[in-house]
Amino acid sequence: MWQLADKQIESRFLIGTALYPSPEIMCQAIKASGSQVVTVSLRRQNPAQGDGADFWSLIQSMNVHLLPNTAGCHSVKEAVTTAQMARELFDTRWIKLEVIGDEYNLQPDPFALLEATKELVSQGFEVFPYCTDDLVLCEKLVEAGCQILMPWGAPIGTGRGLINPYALRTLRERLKGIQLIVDAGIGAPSHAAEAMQMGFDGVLLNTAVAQANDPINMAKAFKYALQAGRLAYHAGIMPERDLAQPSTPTVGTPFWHQ
Amino acid sequence: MIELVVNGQKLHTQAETLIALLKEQGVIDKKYAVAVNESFVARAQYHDCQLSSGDRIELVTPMQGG
Repeated sequence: MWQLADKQIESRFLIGTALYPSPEIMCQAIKASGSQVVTVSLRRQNPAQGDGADFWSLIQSMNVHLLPNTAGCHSVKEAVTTAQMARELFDTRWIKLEVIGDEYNLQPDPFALLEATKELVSQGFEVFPYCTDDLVLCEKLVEAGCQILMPWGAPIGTGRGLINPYALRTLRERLKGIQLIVDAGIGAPSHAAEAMQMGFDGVLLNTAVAQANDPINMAKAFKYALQAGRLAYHAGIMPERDLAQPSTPTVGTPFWHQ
Repeated sequence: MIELVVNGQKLHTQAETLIALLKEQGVIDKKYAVAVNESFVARAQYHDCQLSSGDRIELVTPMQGG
């Protein structure tokens, strides 16, 4: 079992609910992923016309934990207010805190993120900050009260995988007691396995599954990749060597001449 | 009559409180959350939330997200 904040869950795969070809495929993909935590958002819509009601019914029927996000927020004020609305709307103190600092690569604004985190922690939120892989920022977020950090693998939706493995390894090494979840930029199951092999506690992704030709089977592929990566991390991966070393015993090799 | 901005659209209304506006808009029993002038307003505060011309109201509902 995995202790994630106040919940005990089995799956280390957190999955998004956006960009699927249809609501039915979204549901089937989430089920296939085995994920017990799904991300959701809130948007301007007209509740009088039933906007959001169908999605809400679907999500409720899935019996999963909800992780609302503050996607699209560019300031501390917007992010804090969005988090407060999300807490009431989804009845959870969990918040995936996003404060975007740059429109080109949707890079989090580390300064606003830290300020918003402090405010939300003081209001009783369990903050899951979507952050860069900067060690000092991550340490400051921990000092602010975060027990979970979600550094990016690569910019949102790029599918480029872990573009700075050194920084991610450093985070794992320096923040041993913190739940580290790679969020964003994961494109292939091998990327997710790589993160888990490094000792990351979980992976959050959306586009790589939702936009696959077959989202349901891709969700399964990621599920197994995460499990494989986690098993490998615990089993201990052999160190790399520069020189070849035969695996087949050399003693008794036929035709051997001294 | 006051002029509000609801979800970015101008709206003329007789409502003087948030609860009156929500009733007028027919959303009272729906699934949503509200902010007025970028500040969250909890459900318990709808009755006490007075509205003035120019107030900006955000009415949000659940949506897919990543």
